[in-house]
Amino acid sequence: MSGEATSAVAPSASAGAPSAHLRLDGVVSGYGQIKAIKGISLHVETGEVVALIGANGAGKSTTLRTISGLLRPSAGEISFEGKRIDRVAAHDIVRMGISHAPEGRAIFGRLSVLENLRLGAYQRNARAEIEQDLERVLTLFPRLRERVKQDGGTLSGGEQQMLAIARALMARPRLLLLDEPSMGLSPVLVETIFRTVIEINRAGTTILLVEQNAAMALQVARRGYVLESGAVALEASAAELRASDLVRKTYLGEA
Amino acid sequence: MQEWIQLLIDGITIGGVYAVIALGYTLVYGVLRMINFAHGELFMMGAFTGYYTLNGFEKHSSLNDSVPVLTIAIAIVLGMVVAVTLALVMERIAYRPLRRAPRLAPLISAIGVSILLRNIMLRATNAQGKVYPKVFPRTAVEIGEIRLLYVQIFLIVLSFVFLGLLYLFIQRTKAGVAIRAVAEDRDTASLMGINVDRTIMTTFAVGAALAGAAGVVYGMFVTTATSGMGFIPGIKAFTAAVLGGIGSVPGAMAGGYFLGISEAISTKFFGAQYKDVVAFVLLVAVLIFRPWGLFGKREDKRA
Amino acid sequence: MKGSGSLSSLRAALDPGRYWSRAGEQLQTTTSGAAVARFGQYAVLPLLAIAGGLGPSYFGIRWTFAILVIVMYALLRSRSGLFGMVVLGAMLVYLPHQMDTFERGIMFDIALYALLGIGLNVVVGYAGLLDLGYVAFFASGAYLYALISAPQFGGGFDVGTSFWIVLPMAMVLAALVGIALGVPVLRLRGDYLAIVTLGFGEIIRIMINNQDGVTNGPVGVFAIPKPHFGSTELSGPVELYFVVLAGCFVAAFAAERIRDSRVGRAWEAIREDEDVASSMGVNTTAYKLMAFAIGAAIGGGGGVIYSAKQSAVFPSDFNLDVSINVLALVIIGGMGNVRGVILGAMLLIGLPEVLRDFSINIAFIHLDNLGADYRLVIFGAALVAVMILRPEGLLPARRRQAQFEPADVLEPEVAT
Repeated sequence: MSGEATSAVAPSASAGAPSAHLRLDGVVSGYGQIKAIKGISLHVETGEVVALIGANGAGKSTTLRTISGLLRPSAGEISFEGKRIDRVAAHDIVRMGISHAPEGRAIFGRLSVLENLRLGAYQRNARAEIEQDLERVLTLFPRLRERVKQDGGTLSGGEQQMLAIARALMARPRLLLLDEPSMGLSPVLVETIFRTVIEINRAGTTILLVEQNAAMALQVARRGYVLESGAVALEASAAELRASDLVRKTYLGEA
Repeated sequence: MQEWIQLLIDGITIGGVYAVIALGYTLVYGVLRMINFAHGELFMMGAFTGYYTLNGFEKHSSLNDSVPVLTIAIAIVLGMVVAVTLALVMERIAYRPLRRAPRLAPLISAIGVSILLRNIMLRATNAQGKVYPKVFPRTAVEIGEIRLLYVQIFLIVLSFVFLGLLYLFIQRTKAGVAIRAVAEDRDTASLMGINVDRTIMTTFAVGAALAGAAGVVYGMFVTTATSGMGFIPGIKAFTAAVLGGIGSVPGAMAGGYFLGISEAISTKFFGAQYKDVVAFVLLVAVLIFRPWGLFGKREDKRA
Repeated sequence: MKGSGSLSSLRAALDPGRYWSRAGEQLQTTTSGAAVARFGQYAVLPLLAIAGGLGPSYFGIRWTFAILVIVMYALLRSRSGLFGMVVLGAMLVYLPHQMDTFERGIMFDIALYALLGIGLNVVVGYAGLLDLGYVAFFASGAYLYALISAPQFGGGFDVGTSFWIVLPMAMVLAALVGIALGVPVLRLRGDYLAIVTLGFGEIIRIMINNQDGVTNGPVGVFAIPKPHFGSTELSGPVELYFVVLAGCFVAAFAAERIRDSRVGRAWEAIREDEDVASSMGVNTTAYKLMAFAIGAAIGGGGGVIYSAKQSAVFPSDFNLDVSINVLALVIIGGMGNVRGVILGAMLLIGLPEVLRDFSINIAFIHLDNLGADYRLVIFGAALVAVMILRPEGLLPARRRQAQFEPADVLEPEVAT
């Protein structure tokens, strides 16, 4: 299932063609004095699914939070579609086309499912298009359609995850940042979620995916980066990563 | 029986004022987790604006007599404008720089703003209360032994209107949903494209507008404006917000009426001079036994 | 990391006060003789407080005060206690005789507020509990003495000695009131505590006002006798000022000793992070109550002295402004240390008195009686300014600066 998902995109191994969709160059970031990432460089090309894998505390979420503007890097550059975004406020980055479905789902528990979804399209104004997209994501996630009136907090874990992804899509992003979409979900649900991720990518959205479930992530992604204590330890195609000793031992749990 | 109805009406009258002010506390607390100690002073500034406006009309025209609806409306709008302006200035100068500071810092800053405003008005008025011109007939509607001043009816109706409008604003408008989102999770809200700073300002502005309007109407009701008049209603309104579960909009409304009615009834048993004590006892009791409010559900402690 | 390390060592090298404080800590751990030396070091602090009214016959009161504040700020900052002690000890003996009644009154007020500040500082500065109803304890002390000693209530006590009996009684009473208030509310978060104590201060005033039968209501209590010391009646402001001074001395010494003890470390832990403190096994409620009780006792003692000085007390003496004055001087002076409180008392209580009828006339701004009428306006603005520009106060406590550094290091997430 994974191979077909990404075969449409021509491979570009050169680390950092100037045309890169998203590009991080020596980015250092974290909370206060504690730097969770220490000089990360990576790039994502248009149409790709790229996986960031690594252990807890390797800096995966910090990387995403820095890209989406929740954290400000203390060094390095981030550019998106050729524009510098490392000094842009989070709410303006959404407007530029990056949408971030954060770790732990982070849906608004006291807002209804519908309100959550509409918030995803907060910065957009074209009403008809928003309604269209609403229809589209509800088709993508039929479970949510049954629950549009319910408060977000009453949803199950899997439903909340669907809501978080659906909400991120409501921004009509060109780049989607997904943080641990499989966390805490049953294997069946994980399968569903990842199938949807592939669908989203096929529909034209570039995806940067953070996962602890490396097996799953590397099935979906075309390329991947392995992060270790805040730095890129390895960068390769998904197939190569799956075959590499480091990944097999550390993240795939193979002997 | 009639006595009880009278008490109930008096309670609803003052309760409406508490409810309208309480919304400001609860909204700001919702987005910033901070008690805006200076909120009662916005109410006071509203009352003074109302006085100066109505007094100006009284002195320079006969509009107060011919079209009181117009002058009152202008006074209310101006009261709101003044309160909103002040609130935005205080947010920008005294609170925003402290957004990342430890809890005590914005609290102390807010106390400073409250002291500042109160004493500026004390000096500006030479410590003299300002007496409102007579805009409403000082007569009452009497049904049996129940007395209802015209201004009282006006106040009751207007509080309902404001509460209704605010509820619609919070529930139905995009800005309202943004406020609720920021209240729940500031970071995730900004990932939705919500400008958190602007939303916080909107929150202050909405709370201040209500407090300013309440100040004007309350000023007409008690017929005077004094620099210290925001203090007790401010604490009462805060109590109302806590009674309803701070952060909850419907809770603040219900808490306001609950407190107003409890106070009114308490005067029957303890006399009017202990009415403030009743409010504080209620506040302490709720904080100890039901810190999540009388009407709300217990929620897990959030960061 | 490296950079900040060398920066802090640079700061240490530039700041002589650090050496002194380090020496002080060493002394404390060695001998009991050192404890006496340390006691002496604190003796200077209340002495500093009273210098506000000194030497006015020479330069006029305003200039004297201005010079003194500057000198004192320097002395307090560097903690060169010995030098200051000698200079000010001499001034203390000499200068009250140079002053008129008004100036002696100012000295009394500064010292009284310094005493209250030392008490409130235990609560706000050490334990980090924002108490906006401190006046309640002050009032309970003042009324206890008034009711026991004033002739209108029978005056069953031996007037000459009752003061010295009532003083500890008032302190115990205030401490009990503090505990009674503290038990229900100390479980609450900081901002709730602030508003509950605020309400409590008001309730006490309302009760005094309304319980005519007990307190004579708004009419007040009159002809409160002066204390005697041996056979001397301590009647004037200077004599009573010496009483407050002694009070400051004892309170400051006790407070700082407690702060440096196990109790003080518990307070510090609670102040920094209550949840962590309690998970480390600190009985947070007990320690918070202790801070509340100690602060209250000092406030109650201050009330007794106030009552004796004024000869008459009224409910209106005990309004919110008292709590605000004390809180402001603690915060502006520098939370968490006695030196800051002293400086705060001089600036916030002394300066407005000295500038009572000072006027500003610039362009269209005409402000008359600056010190008398605008002091609270200025306090309000100063509280905001201090929080934004220098949240640790003018004279920061050396160990507490961390509390007011940006919180994002410790609390990365507001909510998730």
